[in-house]
Amino acid sequence: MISEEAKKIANQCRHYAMCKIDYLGTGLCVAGKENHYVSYYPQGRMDIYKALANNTIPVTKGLVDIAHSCTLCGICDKQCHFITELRPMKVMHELKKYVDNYLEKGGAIVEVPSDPVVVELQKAIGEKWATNDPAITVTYSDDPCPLSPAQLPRAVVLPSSQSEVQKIVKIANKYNVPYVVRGNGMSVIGVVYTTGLVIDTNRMKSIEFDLDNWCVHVGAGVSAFDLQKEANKHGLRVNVSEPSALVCANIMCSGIFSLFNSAYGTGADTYVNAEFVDDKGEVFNLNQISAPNLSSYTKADVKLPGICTSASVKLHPMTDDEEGILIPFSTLNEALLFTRELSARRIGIAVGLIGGEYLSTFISPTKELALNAKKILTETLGIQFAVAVVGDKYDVESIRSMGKSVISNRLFRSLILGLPNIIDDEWLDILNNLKGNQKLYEILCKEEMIPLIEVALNSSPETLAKAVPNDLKEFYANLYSRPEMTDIAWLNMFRIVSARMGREKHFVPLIVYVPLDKPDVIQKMNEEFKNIADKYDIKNDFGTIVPLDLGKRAIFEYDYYIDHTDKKEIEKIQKAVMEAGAVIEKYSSTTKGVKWIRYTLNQGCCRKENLLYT
Amino acid sequence: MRLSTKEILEKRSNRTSINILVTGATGFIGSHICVKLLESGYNVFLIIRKNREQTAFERFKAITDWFELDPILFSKLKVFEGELEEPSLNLNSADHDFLLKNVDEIVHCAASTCFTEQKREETEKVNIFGLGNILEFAKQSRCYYFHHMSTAFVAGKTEGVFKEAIVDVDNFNNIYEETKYLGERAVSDFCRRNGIGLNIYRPSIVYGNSETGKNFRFNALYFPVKTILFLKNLYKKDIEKNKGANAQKMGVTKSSEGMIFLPIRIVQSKNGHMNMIPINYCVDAFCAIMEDSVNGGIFHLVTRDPEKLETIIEYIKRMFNIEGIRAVDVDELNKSPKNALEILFDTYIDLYKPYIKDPHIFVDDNAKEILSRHHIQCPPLTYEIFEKCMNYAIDVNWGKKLF
Repeated sequence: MISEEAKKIANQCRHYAMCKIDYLGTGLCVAGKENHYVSYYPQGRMDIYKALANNTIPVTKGLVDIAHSCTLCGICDKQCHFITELRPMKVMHELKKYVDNYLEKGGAIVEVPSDPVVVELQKAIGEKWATNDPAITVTYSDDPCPLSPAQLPRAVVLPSSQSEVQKIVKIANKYNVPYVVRGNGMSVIGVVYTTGLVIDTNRMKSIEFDLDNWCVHVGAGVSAFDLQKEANKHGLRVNVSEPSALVCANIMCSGIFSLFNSAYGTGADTYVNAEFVDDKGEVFNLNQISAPNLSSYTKADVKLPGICTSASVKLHPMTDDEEGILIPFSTLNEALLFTRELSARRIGIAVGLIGGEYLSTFISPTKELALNAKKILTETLGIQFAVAVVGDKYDVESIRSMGKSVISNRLFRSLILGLPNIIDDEWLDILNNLKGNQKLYEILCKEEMIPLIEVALNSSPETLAKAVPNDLKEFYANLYSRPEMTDIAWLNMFRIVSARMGREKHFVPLIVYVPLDKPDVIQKMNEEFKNIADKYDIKNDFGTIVPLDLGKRAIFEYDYYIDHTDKKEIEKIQKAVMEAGAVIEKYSSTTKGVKWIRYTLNQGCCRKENLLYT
Repeated sequence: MRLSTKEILEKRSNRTSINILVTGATGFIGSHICVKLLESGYNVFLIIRKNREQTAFERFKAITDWFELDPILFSKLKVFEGELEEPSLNLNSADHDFLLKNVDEIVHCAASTCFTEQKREETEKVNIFGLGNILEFAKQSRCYYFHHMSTAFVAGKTEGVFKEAIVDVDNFNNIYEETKYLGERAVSDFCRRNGIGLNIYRPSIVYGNSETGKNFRFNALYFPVKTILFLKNLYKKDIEKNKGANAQKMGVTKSSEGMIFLPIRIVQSKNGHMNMIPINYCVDAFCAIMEDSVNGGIFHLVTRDPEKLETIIEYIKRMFNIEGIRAVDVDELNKSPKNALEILFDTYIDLYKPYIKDPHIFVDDNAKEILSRHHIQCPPLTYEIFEKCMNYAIDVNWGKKLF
């Protein structure tokens, strides 16, 4: 018996893989940690339940094991609610219940047919780590991206070392079976599908520091969050992207995108070396004279150069006076000019311009609160954009001396912890009546105002916890009593809130390299992306601009949002993305410095100069 | 002139035969004038903009409900849907023709009272272009008299005596003053060229009804009081429920008698004062002048006894059981940095500062000559009136409980 409620929740899983990292200190899903296949994590179980509901997989030995391995510990509910507001526990319960009922009623466990490729893979790397059980393969067959159709792989394989990757490639070649690599067993942009083998690098989790050489050797299965956490233990930092994304996959695939690109660069700037297994199963590294030239860039769809099995990632020093601040703006033009100025003046270790949608979504633990926060930030306070900066005390002093209003970390904390009260009628009334010739945010950003804001919003972890369901209130109150949860610098390093942008709806990012010295071009592109989405009635918003290379270039993200379970929305977004692609091609053919990210796929190791200035 | 003095007097001797077009009838002063005109027996025509939720008539009906207008008077009222900022006032052709043929006098109250520079375009659109459109309409119609609601603060940044005349002013405190000044110039010139009689009325700051306390626009005098009350309640709650940790940081305390101490210094200028009149005086004065003045003129609707800031502060302290609020001079204020309460309060009253320390002495001889005949006098803002007005504001949650 399928529960409609559980099915609905399962359908909404965004595949952000946040249940595969311990980003809230709750501990990790025990079954997932032990068994490594995504199928054993809450994300995989959601897919399995969806497949059972759609009657596309039978009850197999693997499925029974997956269902029984769940301890119903409740960690997934906390983790998933934090990002998407979903409560996967209902699905976990229902999956167990479904299997138990099936077995109680004498349902047969369907035997998975033997596959010679799987048998040989099992011999090579261990029986447990290669399988064609549909309960597992189905969890590697699809993702929320509306641009590519799902494909069920023939088998999934989890190597633990470079030599095992070599063996897998050779077996695949022997049987002429295609293969793809899925970092962390996830994919949200729909480009990692196959009917052949999926190689999941989740078991390759080695992290070895080489402090004298300021680098860390990272296995292909290490996530950005885990690596940053380890680097921080040494008082150091790495430039990594989304917390659940795998570092090696990110480097190789499209290069690292983060606000730290501003100081640490992108592409080849991120790593010292990387090792690959090529399509013949042979190993090469990038510091090898005979190695393929991965530092080049060409505007074309490029084939995967090999499977990146490890990378030596650069380590960066931190200072003990680092602070995160936000500089609010009411227009995109002003914000772009300021972003470029900071970068050109080498101010800030991390710099990024974000829109009101990101800001309100990131700081809010629920969708409803995010909508209210956006309304107040943009309409009442006039903060349409904000430049986020992480810097040392000299950076912060410089910015203050530039005469800009600054949302200090203390004010940021007060706003987050008082967010549920920000819509209080009386408080809003007071704010609205304050509107005069001065921008409202300029008044509220004064340091002297913070004590008043704190008392008006009654800022505290308990106040913030009011916004979440009763059974999670205590958890949230404890969570937000931890200073890092409201620390702009920490949040930028670990980026645990950025996946919230997909909470209301899944997102499809339009990512373009742009010339930051031409703000008019960026604004025109921004307007054209918006017009296209508006035409199709698709939710859309400005995302972010991260300056690169002293403000000469930048990475620009604009986002389209869709309900990935709604066929009509999928049709609309397919058309919209095609049109937006044409806009990017138009600008890239007329304006130097405009480059579409689609051509950097599989070219992430390139020198940034080859990408940005050719 | 379109009508001689004698003809105007004859016409006005029978109120029921006069059709008066009123603009700005959903505004504070405009609505009060409409109701007064209806109650006085005139036929009243209104041009009102519809909004998303309400038709033009529904908008005015909501206001008349608040006034508890006698339903019989609706027979003397006609509401037309239109927009003053648009050519031909965006009236349909039938309405346009009807009004052209039937309007005798026009009372122009429509105005944007926005002070902020960011709203310049919007304010000019209403106060200058809207005025131009209604004047053009007046020219085409049979209208023989135009009553223009202006403000005493067309005086701008001049100081001292300000007469009931068109005086050259070139420096203003805000866009409202500037556009109203330009409006006066335009309307004077236009009416003279087209033979239309003209009265210009210049009220100072208008607050609620001094007899009932009733009001539905809670700005000017009300904003600062509302802010102080908000701050008082905020810290009172902090003291009573959270042991006052935040209050302590801000220097806010509560005495054993329950008095809340709010450390707020407000700058007062030595010669400044606040010239405020109640709406009932404003309307009574307007109607008396409207009927008596047939040769045109400019009339200050002001008080001869403006209040000092200290007086209002005393009223606030007494009514709300508050201590600590002080009117100080600039030197005193600069002795120590402003706290958050002062920054908030200062920002609040920033736009109203010119009216809190208003340096003008408004001559009102023209108005007084007529008003004394009618025994109409501006009541001083006593504590009792202040209390009545604020109690009403609190009862209706500063307008939130109204329409």
